[in-house]
Amino acid sequence: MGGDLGPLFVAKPHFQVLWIVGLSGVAIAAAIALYALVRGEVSRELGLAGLALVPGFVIVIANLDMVDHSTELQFCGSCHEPMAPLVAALLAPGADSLAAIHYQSGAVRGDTACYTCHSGYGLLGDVAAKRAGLGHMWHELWGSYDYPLAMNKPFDIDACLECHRHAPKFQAVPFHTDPATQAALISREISCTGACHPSAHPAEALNGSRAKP
Amino acid sequence: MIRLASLLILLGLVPIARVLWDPTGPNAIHSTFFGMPAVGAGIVLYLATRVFGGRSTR
Repeated sequence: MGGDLGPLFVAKPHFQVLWIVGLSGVAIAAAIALYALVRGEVSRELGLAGLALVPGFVIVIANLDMVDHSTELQFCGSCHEPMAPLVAALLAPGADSLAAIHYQSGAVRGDTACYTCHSGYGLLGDVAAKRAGLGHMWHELWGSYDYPLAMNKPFDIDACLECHRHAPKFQAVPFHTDPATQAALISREISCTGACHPSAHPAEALNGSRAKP
Repeated sequence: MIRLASLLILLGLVPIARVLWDPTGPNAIHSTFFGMPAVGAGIVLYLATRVFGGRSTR
C-alpha cells in the first residue's frame, strides 16, 4: 500500500525471527514424524524430541506468532465474510465513518487500526481482545456470525479516551466537560458514536460480504 | 500407535507451517484451529503410548 508513491510511503520491513524458528521446528519435527511413520518405530530419545518436545515448541512459537500478527489490519480482513466489508469501508476514499476518519487522517496506526480501537484500555484490554478474538475465530470457523454484526456489549470508550482525554481540543469542548454527559458516558448509557459522532462503521458494511447490495 | 501419533503430528504441522509462512493470509485461522489440536493430539498419543506401552516402541 502506498508503494507507488515512493519509498517514503513504504513501511520498513520488521525482521522477525519467530516464524523462522517456528518453520525450522516444523521441518525437524516433520522429518522425525515422517521417519516414525514409515518405520513404525523410533528410539526413545528421537521420539521424545521429534514427537513431543519439538512439536510442542512449534505450537508455542506458532501461537506467539499468531498473537503478534493478530493485531494487524490485514489479519482482521482475512476473515473474508464478516470483516472484508468493514476493512473496505475503512479504506474507501472519502469515507466518513468514524473508523475511516481516524484511519485516513492518520489518527491511528494504519497497520493496527482495528486492534487500536477494539482492544480496550491497558493490558486487560489486550487480554479481553484476545479472548474475544477466540470467539470471532469460532464464529468464522463455523460460519455462525449473525448479521448485521453488532457488539455484544457497549463499546469500551476508554479506548477512545486513551488518546483523546489528553488533547486540549477535546478538553475544550463544553459537552465533554458537562457533568451529566460525563456521568452518562461513564455509565455507558451513551457512547461517543451515534448521537454526537458518526457511527464507527457504515451500516451496510455490517452485513457481511454475502449481503445483497 | 506410534504411526498414528506421527501421522497426526505430520497432518497438524502442514497447516501450522502455512500459518507461520503467511499469518495474515486467507483462512490462516482455520489452519490454526485444525493444525494445533492435531499436533497436540499426536503429542499426547505418543506420550501415552510411551507411558502406558512399556518399553515397546511399536
